[in-house]
Amino acid sequence: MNTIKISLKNKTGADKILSVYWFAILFIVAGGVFAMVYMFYSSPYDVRDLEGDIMANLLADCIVDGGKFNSSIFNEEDIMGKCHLNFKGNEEEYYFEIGFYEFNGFNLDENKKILSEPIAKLSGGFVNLLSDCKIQENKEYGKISKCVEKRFYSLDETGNQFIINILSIVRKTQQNAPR
Amino acid sequence: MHHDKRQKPKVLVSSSMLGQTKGQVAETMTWVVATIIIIVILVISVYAASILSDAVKILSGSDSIPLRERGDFTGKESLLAILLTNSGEKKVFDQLNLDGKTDAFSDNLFDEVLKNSKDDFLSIDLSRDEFEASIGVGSNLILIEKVRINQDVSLELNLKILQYE
Repeated sequence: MNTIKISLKNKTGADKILSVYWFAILFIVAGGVFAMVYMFYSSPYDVRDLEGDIMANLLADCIVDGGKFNSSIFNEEDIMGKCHLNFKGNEEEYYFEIGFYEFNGFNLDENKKILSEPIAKLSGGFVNLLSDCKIQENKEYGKISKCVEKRFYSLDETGNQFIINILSIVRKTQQNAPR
Repeated sequence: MHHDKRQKPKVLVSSSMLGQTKGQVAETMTWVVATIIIIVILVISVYAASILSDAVKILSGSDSIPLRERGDFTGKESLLAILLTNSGEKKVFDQLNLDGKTDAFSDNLFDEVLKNSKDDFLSIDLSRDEFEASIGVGSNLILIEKVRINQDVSLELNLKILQYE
């Protein structure tokens, strides 16, 4: 009678399978790490809020000096030139609006939305972006323009009191919005 | 009757060998479970990375730079305008410089300016000396902007942290 003895102590085959397994795990883990890094760094930084903030500060700095402004600015026709703003190449990406409101009788609703009418308004940029802010009055959406609003108290040269509201809008969704 | 002389080989398996087979099965199952755990952790990590990449990368003035360091430019302009506002025959600045304290007009003006501001969590406070300022701007207030009126008195725009949070 032929007899075959199986020796289970011979683990050469098992070791080979185990090393293949280890390589598979190594590739899976490496692939996972690569996927994580790629996903994290492939999405762009959204700096539109900062851009809007900077534009609003620049406009405030341009029209007000030491808490006062000159009311001749109401008739300024080239506010962008005066404030050294240049949207060349990005004409449809930016919009700003500066509203001058009388301090006495200035009204807000419960959501801090302005009810009063401005006595003067200056604006520049692509006006169609304004509708993006109206859409986002109750909820913010990532893939349309970002709206930054700043409001502060100021005086004209004769001491009349005003509230100045600066709205700056930045679209630039392709460069900033997550895919 | 034909007899096949070639007989099938007989495999001898001892009881100790059977025990080793069971051990191998157990070991294999351990690796299978370990593999599944590794893959699950990886999938969770990749998903978390995709969520974080959307959430963390939105930079705004309020989270990228601490307010204490950034300041508030328009807030500063408001403070300066308050100081230049005429309160009867004197400016608010003169009143604060003389008495070191607010009167009804300036208190009302502070309230109105804050009411009409964009943020609910700001406050305008008067500090009479550095010591008081350091105590006043303590656990629940962050100093954003400060206009010094004289050696002892400052007008400050503060952030109320409790309301903010």
